[in-house]
Amino acid sequence: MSCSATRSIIYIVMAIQNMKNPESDHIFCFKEDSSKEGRTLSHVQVGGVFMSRLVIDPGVVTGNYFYTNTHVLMSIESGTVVARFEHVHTKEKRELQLKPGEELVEIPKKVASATKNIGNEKAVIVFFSDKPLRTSEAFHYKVF
Amino acid sequence: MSNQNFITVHPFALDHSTAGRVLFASEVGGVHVSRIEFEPGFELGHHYHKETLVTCYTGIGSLCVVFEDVVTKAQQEIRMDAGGCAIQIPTHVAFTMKSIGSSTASLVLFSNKKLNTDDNYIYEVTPPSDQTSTP
Repeated sequence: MSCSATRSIIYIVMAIQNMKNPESDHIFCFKEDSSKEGRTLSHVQVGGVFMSRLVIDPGVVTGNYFYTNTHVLMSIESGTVVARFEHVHTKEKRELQLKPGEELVEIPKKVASATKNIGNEKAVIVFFSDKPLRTSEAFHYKVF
Repeated sequence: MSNQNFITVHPFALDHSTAGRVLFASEVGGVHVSRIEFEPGFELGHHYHKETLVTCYTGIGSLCVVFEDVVTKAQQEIRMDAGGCAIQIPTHVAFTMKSIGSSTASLVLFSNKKLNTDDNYIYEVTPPSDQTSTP
């Protein structure tokens, strides 16, 4: 793991360790973003950890972004998704077919990603990140 | 060997040891990411943690969750639907979670320690609806 990736993971661990506060409210409701057709992105922040849930309609492609300073973990909760990744500088590429419970994908900064729901029903992808997704430091980069 | 500047794929380890649920667990740099699949009607929990801090939310389906502070005995019952709310479970708060839908439900969890280890302390949580009052 690179130094920057390790630092990002450490930030996530620190956020978890700092989130213990039994006196505070411990229920955090997701905020929904349905601004784009065919997908709904919901997100919630707990401590310094950002958890996101993306629901994609069949056939829809989402993403085509990379981040300059955000570390992301993603996995599939339901459905079948093809994910493509490309490093924006080295141009290294990889395509994965992802299904629930099989793998957790760690995406470092400057790796663009996009996902396509190849199933017949809605697919659900979950993300953990150290910064909110789809922010001003998300840059468009077409990989799908 | 993985390229440290490119994606890394971490496989989930599967635990089928309990009928009615499957636990998927992975770890990235000390962060434990887990998911639990519940068959309809399956219930788990009735324990609390002393050191493990857990944040979780429902990935698919619906769960009924009851929490009880093991010191104050204060209870809270919550219905957790997919995409609804995330819950932070403090230490010394016991819980029980039951799948209340007609299809598989899943729970997505994020914790500072591996789940299902020696930090589980058995504690029977009686849901408010199951408690009988005496006249």
